[in-house]
Amino acid sequence: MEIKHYPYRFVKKVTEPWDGPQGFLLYKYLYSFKSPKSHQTYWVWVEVYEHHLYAVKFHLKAHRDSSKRYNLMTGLNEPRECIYTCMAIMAETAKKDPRASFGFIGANRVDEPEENTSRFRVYRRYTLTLFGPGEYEHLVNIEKSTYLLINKKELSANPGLIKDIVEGFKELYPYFD
Amino acid sequence: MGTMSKIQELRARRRVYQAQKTKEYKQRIAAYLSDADKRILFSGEGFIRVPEEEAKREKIDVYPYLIQ
Repeated sequence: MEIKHYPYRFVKKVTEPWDGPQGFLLYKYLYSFKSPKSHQTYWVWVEVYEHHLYAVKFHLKAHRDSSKRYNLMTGLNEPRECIYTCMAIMAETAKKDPRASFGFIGANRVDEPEENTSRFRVYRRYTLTLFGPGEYEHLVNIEKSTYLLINKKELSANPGLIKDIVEGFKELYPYFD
Repeated sequence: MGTMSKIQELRARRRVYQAQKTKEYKQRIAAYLSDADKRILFSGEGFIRVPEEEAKREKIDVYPYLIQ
């Protein structure tokens, strides 16, 4: 399906000295798009993990220095357009890497519990609409508001893929403990 | 009532509402899951597959303009 989205551009590949082939997180891609509606710029981070897993995150560029950049509400009333742009980036990534699987977290708002957050509920609905069950296995962790789109071809080649991914995340992020 | 206490009250009400909706959601999808998956769902430790029925229910297909 053609996704109508804001025009975006690839900015750079970021490799931190502590990431790399020895760890689960390999490197990150930074994409950027500017909303013609609000004239604000958004940053989209695509984190590349082992097993061809890509985690997509986005925030307002103006919030880039905030520790709560993923939790703050922008108040710009354009979530659908931003979600579509992120999903278009995911679709482009899937085209480049046919083995790609994806993951994201619906971050909680400030003062919102982490379980089944409102962002997670919205992202879940759009993901189920735009990514068919034929190509991807849809997995959720409601407690952590986390969504995984696992490539079915990869899963049939490696039945332990989900376990490997979850273990990798547990090792890297205390959030998943 | 001050503005801050009003905000706190609204946030508390939203939290109660969210907890209620989450409980309802879990109960709804639990009906489609195996016993092992139900345990994972209610313990919150691990991932469960989105049941086909729930995927169909959540898919936006009623108003095509919403996905354009």
